[in-house]
Amino acid sequence: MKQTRSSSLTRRQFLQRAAAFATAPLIVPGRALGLDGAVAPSNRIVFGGIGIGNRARHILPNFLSFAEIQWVAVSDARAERLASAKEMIDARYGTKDCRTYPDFRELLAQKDIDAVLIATGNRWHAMASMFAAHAGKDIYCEKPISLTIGEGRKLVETCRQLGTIYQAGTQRRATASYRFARDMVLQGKIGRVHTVESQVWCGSTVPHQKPEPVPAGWDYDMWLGPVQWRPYVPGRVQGHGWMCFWDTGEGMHTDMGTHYTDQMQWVLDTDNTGPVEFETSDIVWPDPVKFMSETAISGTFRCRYKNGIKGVIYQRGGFKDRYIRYIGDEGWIQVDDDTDEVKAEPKSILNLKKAGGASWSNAGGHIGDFLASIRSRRPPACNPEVGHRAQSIVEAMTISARLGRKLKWNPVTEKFNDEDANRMTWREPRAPWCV
Amino acid sequence: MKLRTSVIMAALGIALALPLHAADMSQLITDAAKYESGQSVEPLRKFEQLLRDSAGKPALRTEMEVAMIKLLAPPATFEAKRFACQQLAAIGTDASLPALAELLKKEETTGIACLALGVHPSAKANATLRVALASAKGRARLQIATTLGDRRDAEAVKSLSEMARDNDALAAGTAIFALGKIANEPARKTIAALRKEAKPALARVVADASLSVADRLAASGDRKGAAAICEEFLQPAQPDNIRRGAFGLLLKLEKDGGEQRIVAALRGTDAKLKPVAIAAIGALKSRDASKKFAAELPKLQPAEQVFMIEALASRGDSAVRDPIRALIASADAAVRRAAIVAVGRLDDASVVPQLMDAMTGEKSPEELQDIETALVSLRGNSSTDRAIVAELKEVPAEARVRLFSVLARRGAHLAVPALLAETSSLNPATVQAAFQAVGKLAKADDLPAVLERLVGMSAADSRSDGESAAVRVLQKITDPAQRTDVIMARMTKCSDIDGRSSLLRLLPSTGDAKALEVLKTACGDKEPRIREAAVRALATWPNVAAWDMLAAVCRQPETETVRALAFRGLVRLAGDLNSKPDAELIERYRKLMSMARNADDLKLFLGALSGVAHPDALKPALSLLGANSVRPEAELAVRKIAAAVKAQHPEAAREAMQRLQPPPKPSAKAQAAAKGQPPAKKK
Repeated sequence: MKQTRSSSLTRRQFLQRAAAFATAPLIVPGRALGLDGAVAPSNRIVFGGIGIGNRARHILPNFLSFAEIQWVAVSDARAERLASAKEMIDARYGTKDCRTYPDFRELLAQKDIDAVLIATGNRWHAMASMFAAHAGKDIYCEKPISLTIGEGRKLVETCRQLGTIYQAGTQRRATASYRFARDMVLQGKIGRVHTVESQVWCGSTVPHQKPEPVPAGWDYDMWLGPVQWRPYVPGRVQGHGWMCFWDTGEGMHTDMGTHYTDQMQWVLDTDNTGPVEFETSDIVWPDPVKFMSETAISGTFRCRYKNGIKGVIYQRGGFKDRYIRYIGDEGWIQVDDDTDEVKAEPKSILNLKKAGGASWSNAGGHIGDFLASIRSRRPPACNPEVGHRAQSIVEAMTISARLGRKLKWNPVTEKFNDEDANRMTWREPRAPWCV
Repeated sequence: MKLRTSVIMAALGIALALPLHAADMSQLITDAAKYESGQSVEPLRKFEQLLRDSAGKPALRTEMEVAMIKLLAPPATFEAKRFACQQLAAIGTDASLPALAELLKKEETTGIACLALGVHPSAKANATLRVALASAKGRARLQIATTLGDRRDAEAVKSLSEMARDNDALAAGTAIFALGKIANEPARKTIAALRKEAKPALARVVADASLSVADRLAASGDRKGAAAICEEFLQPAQPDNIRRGAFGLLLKLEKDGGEQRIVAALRGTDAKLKPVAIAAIGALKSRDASKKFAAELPKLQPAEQVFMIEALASRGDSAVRDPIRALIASADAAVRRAAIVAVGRLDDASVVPQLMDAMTGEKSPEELQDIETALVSLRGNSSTDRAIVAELKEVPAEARVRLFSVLARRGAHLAVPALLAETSSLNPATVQAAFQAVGKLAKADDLPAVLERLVGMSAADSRSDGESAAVRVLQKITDPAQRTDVIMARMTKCSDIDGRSSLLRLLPSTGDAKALEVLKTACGDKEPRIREAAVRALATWPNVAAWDMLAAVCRQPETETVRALAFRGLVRLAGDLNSKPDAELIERYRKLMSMARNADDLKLFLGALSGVAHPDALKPALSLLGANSVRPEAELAVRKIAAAVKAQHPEAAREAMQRLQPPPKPSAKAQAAAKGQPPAKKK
């Protein structure tokens, strides 16, 4: 039964007109919001940014491209970053209005702010998110969502108790190549999946360095945040040095691997649970005579789900070599993260892929999903439970590597079969940072 | 370098795994106790290895703990103590509590002590913390209160309750948070009292702690107690997030899953809670929830309808299909788009006519894209594919192109006959799009039909589209000989010159010897257009097997066009061989150069030659330096070849590069002599 048309034009005429629009590019749908085009100030979502370093500067243009966002404030423990972030945002709006706060709690106290982007170093992600949730803000937080399993669970509970919309910044669920790979797996194009393999690049090392005075313009106490105090050592703090220590970064496999465990969980439809076993091998640790860094240089991190499906993260090779591959009993499909290229066997799978689509480096789709959730209050794609489960996998792998043994895990109780391991699922935060 | 690192790592691993004697342990403790940033972390890593090795070895575990306890005492550095606390977090027993208690007494070491105490398995750790709390000040007090809360120490409630009334807001807030985590009856009482008496600055902390308490009560089965707290925080005066949290928990507490409360919210005017209510519909467990809430759809405002469509669609059952379908024709664009996206997820073939109707009217590109995506996503496999194919006859050419794309993305193989029929269109854009879809969808079995259509084409402009599609289908046949057989089977029945020419142009996609013979024969065909088509095909042949035939054409060309085609084919083949630069390749280039007839040929030749990493490739390039019409290309070729061979043939490269130098200017004397004048004297 065809619908009655209200217009007097024939269907053919309508379609001829419609076809005139057909070649225009796809725009991220704001369908849930009715927000395409200009947005009245009263209907804008007001944002603030916490931690405006390298990652934030990369993703901020994605946020600022949304007409429905009004960015009004930034916060950072480093004065020069605060100044340059203000400059960037003021340039976007052609004003001098962006407010700056060295202490993010002052930013969170601003009543006009609806939501925050948290792009601090990893040590702050969960704690700052919980502070933001308590302040009534919705949250887009860069990955990893936490640095311990216990902290992640606490974040889930906090957001649930306070009705917070939280999106973990893993963004690949909104990326065409990854969505295509998932669709192909779910449609059975590679048969029954038995292994999900991924690769992150080799971890860095930090040579021994003596403590130095804290540079001017740094609030080092705020920079450390929930991490128990240790002296300021440039190599441990600056650049990506902080990534190479357990309580500030947890290493490359934990930081980057969560992107791929997020994909694995999504494709395997295990977003509310997780693997049951973790094991590591070939771990190469930094030479303690030369390096002060703690986290692994390379290694193989494995997990196994109850149904026998295996997950493997290789930490090896260079930055451009990262990928995720789903292997089934009738073929495989792979996304190369650096190029966004999809490969598959049988190759005929690739005939089904539509050309185009933004790569992961454009987080617009993921941000759009977050904005839609803020309006509708439905959970976004990478809500706290999803983010926590993906992060738990890499955390559990890390604990297995640190203890040098295979671990069994109960994804319901979130407990290991090993008491030492259970005690490594929580790290007491430094006061006054508590939630 | 990598190997060296691996060897070091392996040796270190062995060293770390060796058992330690008492003297070694003593030395290790001494070394670790001195640790400060900047020094070797070798002693620390040895202890970490001991920790790994001590699993299941009580004696070694005890030895390890004793060592860590020693590191907590003077003269150990702060960083050594910090390290020890990290290890004790994993292995500490009651034995370590006295030493940790000492650390709790000093503000600078309270935090690291709590690293170990936060996860300490013994209840005695609570007592240690409580004692310390009594005299702690400043950050140390906050730290200990937080840790007691994290440990949910019921016996700390009294102290924390006192602290919750501290004049210092930070201290009070910390204690209130801790009480919320403990949430036993005494803690609940304190928090309930604070709801009435706390300062406004602490109202949010008290509300947060209250929701934690409600959550704990709900988990323990006290629905009534939990609901009472939630109702209190549902009031409009409360902050939005607190109200949303309270509302969410209330829905979970109710026996009907919150259905009645959701209905009430939908019919009410509370704009903050209405979206939360709609979002909760997706997770409702009752069977008739879909039907019940779908009936609410028409009563909602457009923005709420959008949310409701998403929520109903997430339930995924058939009861929501018709109500959502009805909104495909909504007057509100956002509602229409939400409905279109939802039917794409939920629906099947039966919605295809409605989606086609939705394409009518002046729709935005985004909405048309949504319709296309929905059509691609529809369930129903072949029945949906058939329904879309049936619509092809109904729509105008421009919109048909969109449907071709839909069919291709759906992998709708059954659409191939209909798509081939569409290639008869007089509209080139339609033909092109139809052939693109055919190329994607057609299988080997479809090839005869595709070739039939190709040879029967009358529109010369679209012939290349048909040939491209046929090539894509041919590539799906793995055996090259089989590809040739299919083409030849059609060729034997084809008398049309354009059709035969098209078929000849497909032969390079086989790369097969039999196909090459066919082209050889065709080069001698009585019909000039066939001969030209054969040469064109040879010029695109994928491997060097066509070299001799192309060379023959080049030497005795029928026309200049044919010669130029053959020459370009040879250049391409030579270029393809550049990855294996050997004497045979040099010989090919030598012959190729001899076949060049004009500057354009030589430029092409030099372009390919410049990619040969062989010293003998320099000679032909150098020989062309004197030809003014190709001097720049020859120079470039010399530079590239010289750079490529420089490492292995430095002398040849150097000599070649010297030839690129402009000739030295003659001296003044020589110039003068040349002019018949005496040389000028220096001033």
